[in-house]
Amino acid sequence: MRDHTRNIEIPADWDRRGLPGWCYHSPALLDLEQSELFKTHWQIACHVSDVPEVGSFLCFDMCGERAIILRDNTSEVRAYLNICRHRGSRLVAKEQGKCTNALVCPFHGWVYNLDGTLRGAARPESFPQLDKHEFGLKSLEMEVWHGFVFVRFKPGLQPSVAELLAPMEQELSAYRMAEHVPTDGIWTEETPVNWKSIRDVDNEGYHVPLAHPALQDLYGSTYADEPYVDGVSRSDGRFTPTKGRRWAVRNYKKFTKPQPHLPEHLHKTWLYYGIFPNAVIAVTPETSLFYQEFPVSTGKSILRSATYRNPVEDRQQRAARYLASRIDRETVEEDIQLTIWSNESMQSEAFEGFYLSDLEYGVRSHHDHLRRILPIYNVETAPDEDGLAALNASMTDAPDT
Amino acid sequence: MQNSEQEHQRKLLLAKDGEPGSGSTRYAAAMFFYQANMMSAELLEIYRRCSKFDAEDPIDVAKYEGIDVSEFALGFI
Repeated sequence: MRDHTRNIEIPADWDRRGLPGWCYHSPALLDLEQSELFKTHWQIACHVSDVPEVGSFLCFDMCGERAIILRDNTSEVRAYLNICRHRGSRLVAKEQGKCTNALVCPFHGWVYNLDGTLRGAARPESFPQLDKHEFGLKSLEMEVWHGFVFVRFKPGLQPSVAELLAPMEQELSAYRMAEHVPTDGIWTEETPVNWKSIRDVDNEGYHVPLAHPALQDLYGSTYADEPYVDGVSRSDGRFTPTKGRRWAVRNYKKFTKPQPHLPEHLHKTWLYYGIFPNAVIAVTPETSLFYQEFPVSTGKSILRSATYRNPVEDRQQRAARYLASRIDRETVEEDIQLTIWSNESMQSEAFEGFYLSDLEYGVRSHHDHLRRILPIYNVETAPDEDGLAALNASMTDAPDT
Repeated sequence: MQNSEQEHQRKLLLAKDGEPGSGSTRYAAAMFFYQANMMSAELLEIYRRCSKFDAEDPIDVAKYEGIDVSEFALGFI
């Protein structure tokens, strides 16, 4: 069951405005977002099944930082900065793979053991004796939650992942996600919008009946959003009893079948949990998946996603999973268009800002989370770019009025 | 008397030519033996140069360049 202790009430007289338009195209704000949001908050790097064997690795880049997730000689999953201690080169250049013995920097050839210690520098006689720990790879803060590997590049205010995601624990534990295995690997795509325009679209279901005919066909008016509370939001859609008018939905409803490990109320449900500031873990009876977005510039972002499945599935379940992915792919393409339309409004001097429905309170709750981290979002007109960081700092230090 | 780690690294040093990644596998193993004072810096450097060329046999290259491989590589292998 979901966590009923969360206060998900929508206030009676809430401020229906969104963030000021300048927030979507300010380079100085983006610098702050990268430093104070993305690097200080937990990020999903992968699932433990993406690094199944000793020496398996996966690289994860975000906001100029580089991580490598690796399974060491004792089968422990570890996270390091993907940075050679010699000159800072990318130590592992492939996105994913397996190293047999050790990690070898492609620049000069420094060699690292799988436990991160330095095995030796290239041309070792040209250096003084190097301590294998002092010159070892830098470990990254990491936590595994139900199989998902979270990393954090800088210390931040969020609690442990387990504590942060406690509201998801009871409901999602039924899915046995830690046992899931990869389907099609990690998917990424660059998209020409500010990262917040992606989240603004994803944080509300008001657009679903109009923009996502397949989702509407699948769960229709049962879809409901809960806002972000302490960094976590929740949405669910329960399958309508209709057969489905669209090919993929009709056949998905036909092929999906109760998973024995799930309680009955989750047999015909898709669930989405938002994790502040930029990620979602979603589950269907057949799969678990994550998706997230990262800024590249003020007007460019990376979408990143991966889907995992139950370790054992029969042909019918495989067919259902394929059909679910068709519905999902269609939805993603539709959402990408919506994010472009939403984002371009922010460039128009004539646009006066959002006026949100009660069905879009999730957007506001995300913005309120953002405002608590960076009070500069409360400034209605674009501040001077050069002084933006200092102004934000002064607002952070100022006592509440 | 070789310990088990040395035995493991010996197998990696002899990773088959041409196998994807075998060049860096051999070089990483060579670094192990260098750190154990069982390989010369000159021979380690040959393994480094060959690390990106999976089909290149470091011992052949070392012999071609006149680097002594007898004390370590020939007897060892």
